Amino acid sequence: MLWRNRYRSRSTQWPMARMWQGMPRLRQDMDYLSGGTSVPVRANYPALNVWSGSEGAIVTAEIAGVNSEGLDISVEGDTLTVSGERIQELPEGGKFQRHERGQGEFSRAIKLPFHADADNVTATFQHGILQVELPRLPEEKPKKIEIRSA
Amino acid sequence: MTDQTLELEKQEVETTSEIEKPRVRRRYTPRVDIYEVDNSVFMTADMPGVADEGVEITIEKNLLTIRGEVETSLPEGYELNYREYRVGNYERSFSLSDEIDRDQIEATIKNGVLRLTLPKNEEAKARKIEVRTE
Repeated sequence: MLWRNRYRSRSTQWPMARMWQGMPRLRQDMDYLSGGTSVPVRANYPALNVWSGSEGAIVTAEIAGVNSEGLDISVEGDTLTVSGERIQELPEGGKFQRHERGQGEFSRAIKLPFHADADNVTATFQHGILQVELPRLPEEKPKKIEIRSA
Repeated sequence: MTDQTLELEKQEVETTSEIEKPRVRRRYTPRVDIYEVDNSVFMTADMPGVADEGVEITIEKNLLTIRGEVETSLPEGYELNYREYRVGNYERSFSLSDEIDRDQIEATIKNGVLRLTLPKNEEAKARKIEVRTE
């Protein structure tokens, strides 16, 4: 029987993320609940950085060792979900001398500060770095307000 | 609430030296898998952000050092709102066993994963003795 480790992380909202960060011990214990011989991907993999500007947001993640076909990116409203799987690579008859790289399925959802224009979201994946560009919905773009002199 | 740092994929290298470094750049220790199959040792290291040109592998005496230089392109006109990881170069050293044939070491990098093939030399291969049941 193959052990698969599924970790669905809850939505990372801005204040919630900090609270979740305060529980590393709990996460570590959860990571190892499944047992088995492989090192599971940790619960909050991959780490995400979020940049934002007037046009939209850019979310970046370091996800080494996954093919772009193996990555699943979806946008719904103001939530971006990145999921995929890091495949077990040990060939038949192989023995680990050191095993630090996590394997298994991962999924992370992050809340953006605005609703994204889902039809125009683009993503690039190069050298293991994922970059997702999420434009704001036209209605949500900051509008310049003219001050009229009365 | 105490400020707990996220358990990172990569571990930051502590710079305790007081020597002024010409380039101030964070360095990280990449996570590594080492496994043995048949007569070769394989090493895979996670170095996201590193391309072919950024890889440097050196062997000095019995020390194998893998280095990866990251190319960063910060988005123009954007502000960093939320950060879970920092960007920096990678470096890690390993002591090389005598069993490895240094001239036959090969390396490739794809999708940010550096893969090294370290074949054992002939004497090491021949050491395997078959036990036959009578």
